[in-house]
Amino acid sequence: MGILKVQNVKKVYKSRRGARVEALSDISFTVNKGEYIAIMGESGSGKTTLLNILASLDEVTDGEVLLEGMNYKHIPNDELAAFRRQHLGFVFQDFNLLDQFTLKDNIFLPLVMANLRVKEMNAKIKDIAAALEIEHILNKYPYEVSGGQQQRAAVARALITSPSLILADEPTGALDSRSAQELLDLFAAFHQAGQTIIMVTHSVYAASKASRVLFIKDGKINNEIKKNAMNEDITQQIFDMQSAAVTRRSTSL
Amino acid sequence: MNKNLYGKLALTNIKKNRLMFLPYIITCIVTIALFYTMNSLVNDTALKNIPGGNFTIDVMKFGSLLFTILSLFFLLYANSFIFKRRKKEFGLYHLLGMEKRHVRKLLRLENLLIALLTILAGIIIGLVFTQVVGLAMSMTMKAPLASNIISILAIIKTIGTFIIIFFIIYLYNVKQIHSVHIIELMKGGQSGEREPKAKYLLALLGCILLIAGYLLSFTVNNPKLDLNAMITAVVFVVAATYLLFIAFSVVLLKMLQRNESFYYNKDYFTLISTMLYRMKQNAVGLSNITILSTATMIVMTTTISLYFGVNTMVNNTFQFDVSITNTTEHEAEQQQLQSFIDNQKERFNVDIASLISYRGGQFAADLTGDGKEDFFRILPLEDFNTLTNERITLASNEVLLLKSKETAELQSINLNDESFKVKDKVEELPFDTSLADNIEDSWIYVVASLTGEFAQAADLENSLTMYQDFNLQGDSKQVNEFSHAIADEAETIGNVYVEAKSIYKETVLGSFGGLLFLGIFISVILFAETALMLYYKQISEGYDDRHRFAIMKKVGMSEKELKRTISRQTLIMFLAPLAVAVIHLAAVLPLVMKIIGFTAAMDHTMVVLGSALFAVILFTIIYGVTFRFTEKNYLRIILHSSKLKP
Ligand SMILES: Nc1ncnc2c1ncn2[C@@H]1O[C@H](COP(=O)(O)OP(=O)(O)O)[C@@H](O)[C@H]1O
Ligand SMILES: [Mg+2]
Repeated sequence: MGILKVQNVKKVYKSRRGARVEALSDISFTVNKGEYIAIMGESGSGKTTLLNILASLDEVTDGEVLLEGMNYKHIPNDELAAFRRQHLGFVFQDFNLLDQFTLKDNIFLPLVMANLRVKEMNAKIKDIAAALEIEHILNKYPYEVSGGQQQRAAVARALITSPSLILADEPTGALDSRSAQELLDLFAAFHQAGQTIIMVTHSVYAASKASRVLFIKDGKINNEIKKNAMNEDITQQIFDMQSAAVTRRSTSL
Repeated sequence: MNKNLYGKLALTNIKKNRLMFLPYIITCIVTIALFYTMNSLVNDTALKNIPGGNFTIDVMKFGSLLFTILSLFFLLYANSFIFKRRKKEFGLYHLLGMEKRHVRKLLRLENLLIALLTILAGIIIGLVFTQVVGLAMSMTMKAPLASNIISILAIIKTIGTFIIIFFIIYLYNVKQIHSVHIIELMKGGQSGEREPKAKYLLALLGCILLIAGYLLSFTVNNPKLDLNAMITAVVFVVAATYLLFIAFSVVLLKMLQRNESFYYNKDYFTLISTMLYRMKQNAVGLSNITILSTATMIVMTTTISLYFGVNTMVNNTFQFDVSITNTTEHEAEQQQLQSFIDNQKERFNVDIASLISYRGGQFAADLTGDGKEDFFRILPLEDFNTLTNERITLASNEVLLLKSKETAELQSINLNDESFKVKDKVEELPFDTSLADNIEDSWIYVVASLTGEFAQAADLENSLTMYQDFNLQGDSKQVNEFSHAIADEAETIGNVYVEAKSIYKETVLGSFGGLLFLGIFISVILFAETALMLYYKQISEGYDDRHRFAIMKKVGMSEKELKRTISRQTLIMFLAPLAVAVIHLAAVLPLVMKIIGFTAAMDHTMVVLGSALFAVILFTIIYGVTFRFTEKNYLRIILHSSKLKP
């Protein structure tokens, strides 16, 4: 059952001087409910662009994106924010927590925007904070806690609206290896609990936790690895695919 | 790296950062233009020759000195804003291998470029402005003023002063570059701002100081005597302003934050938290704006009041158009002047009206026996009877007194150890005594017979002065010319003195015209400073807020909500200083009234209230326009990058 459909998506950036950059050429894939997708590719291959389009933060030049049957193109501009709030959760490399808010208020932000009552918000944060082990630091400010803790707060903010899809752009990129490992374990746990996740990553280890890995090159998906069983180890396959890409590039030079 | 490259880099830097540089450059140009104008006028020969002109020049000389100091701080402040934002850029230069001396060179060139541009433009605009101001001054002073087209002296002074100022600015920037570590430079203005703590004690102190300051302003009775109280009031209110913005605002916002069902609301959530977060760096800026706004409005109110009060003041001082004074021994001279007036009035086409003449004397003694010497005037009973058509007689040891607060209870008065019986109190004298009431409320008027004992005790005979008051009817210009003619004639004759209302008015207008000009000038400068402060505050916040709003957008805030939050936030930031400034103004108005009443001896309440209202409205309009402009730029900075982009 496809929760997200991406059909022939093309994205061309035009600079003010008229130069064209084709960030995405022709991307198509479907994500099923409960899948955990990792997207890999070299820097500049278009991963962030793709994620932003899935996040409805950016518009496609051509093609279509449907989430739970809703075509992004048909959502009016003033409903986009509400749509994002209800259906999507984001985790970014640089956490994107607001310094003016405590961790708790950062996590509450999407709920406040959705006009939830304080009681409901407090009920929601309880379980999530417990799962992410950040209950004791909820009243601290982002600059008072570690990067790993900040990222877990960001994850809590993404999860608190129970979104159909979590989008994560290199969430471990700014973390030390232990915090990264902990975060990936959390993602795996959410996946096991049925959460659909799309994660952009450079780390082979991170990708190996996913149920499917998409490889992007020059704005196209040029390869894909799929786990047949949940506990299958695909680390070697990913590694081979990456080194193949590197070899191809060096021979073509 | 060659010199050309630096030049190019300097030029590109200015172009690239034009959003920050432009207001700075404009500020420099305006400051320089105003500086030139002031100095050019001070050197104006024509100004010296008009009545009160010297006073105006003195005031402007002082103002010019003040202005020089102000310009330095003002431009340094504006520069520091830009510099703070550019720290990252300089950090990058270091990282790219530029040495500090290279950066110094770059700064030197940038500064030189700006100095050349702004000094040149400033002087050119100043030349034009001088003509306009000269014309305006001529009109306000009601006297012709032939301004020099170009004042070489002023140009040299302007160039010299501002080269020094720009050099100081350059030194400041160099010092910044040297004292700051590269890592810090790289972080720039972005470094983690901690949320301010609620300081209840300071907030309380702020409230107390404010109330104390206000109370002082209300209770100071004689501004001249209570100078200390007045200064204390000002210091209290200024300190209170800072404390209120720094501490009280935080306490208030924290209180709102603690009310969860209020705080966790779409409309207030980001608003309260952002303001709270911002308060640390905002508080000082907001206080500065508040104090500058208050100062601007006070100067405006005072200036307008004084200018519009001139007529009242002149009329209060002079009840008659011309007063002639001489001692009795010089009666012949007075007769001579009298015949001159009679002969000449036809030539000026002016009629003499309501002529009254009387004699009298001024003395000082402790009449009331309270141990204090009072001023008193004696009006001979003989003249009193003539003027009032009465036939009052007094015994030799009797006197009449003008009814007043001081004399109401007096049954007798003492002079030289003799006691005199107060036979009666006179309701009013046949000539105006309001001036004495207004300025020195302790004058006592005694009506005593020339042949009586009181006149003898005061030795009136040897100090008897003759007064002649009359009005001139005719065209006001001819009245003025005739007044001058009479005054000139009296000077030629000698020993007879003339005071004329229209001459006095000329002098007053001269000095007040200068004051008015200075008031407008200072208002403009203060306002320019306020506007600049506002602009830099908004722009620098814009750069910080843009990241913040981009995140909010990602987390599910719509553009509409974003704009609403921003406009609410800016409205509060706009209204807060203005509201506090207006309240401050209202609180110091009684003081302003007293000062004006004191210096200008006029019925001031309505004039001051009207002027204050006018000042508030005018200020709000100009402030509003400025704010709109800065807000637009702020929005442009924020929406530019968060526009559907990560
Ligand atoms: N806003 C933009 N305007 C112009 N070009 C862009 C923009 N964002 C990304 N690009 C270009 O699109 C390509 C893909 O970028 P991105 O999606 O960020 O790559 P990745 O995240 O895989 O490193 C790059 O060549 C980048 O320069
Ligand atoms: Mg990227």
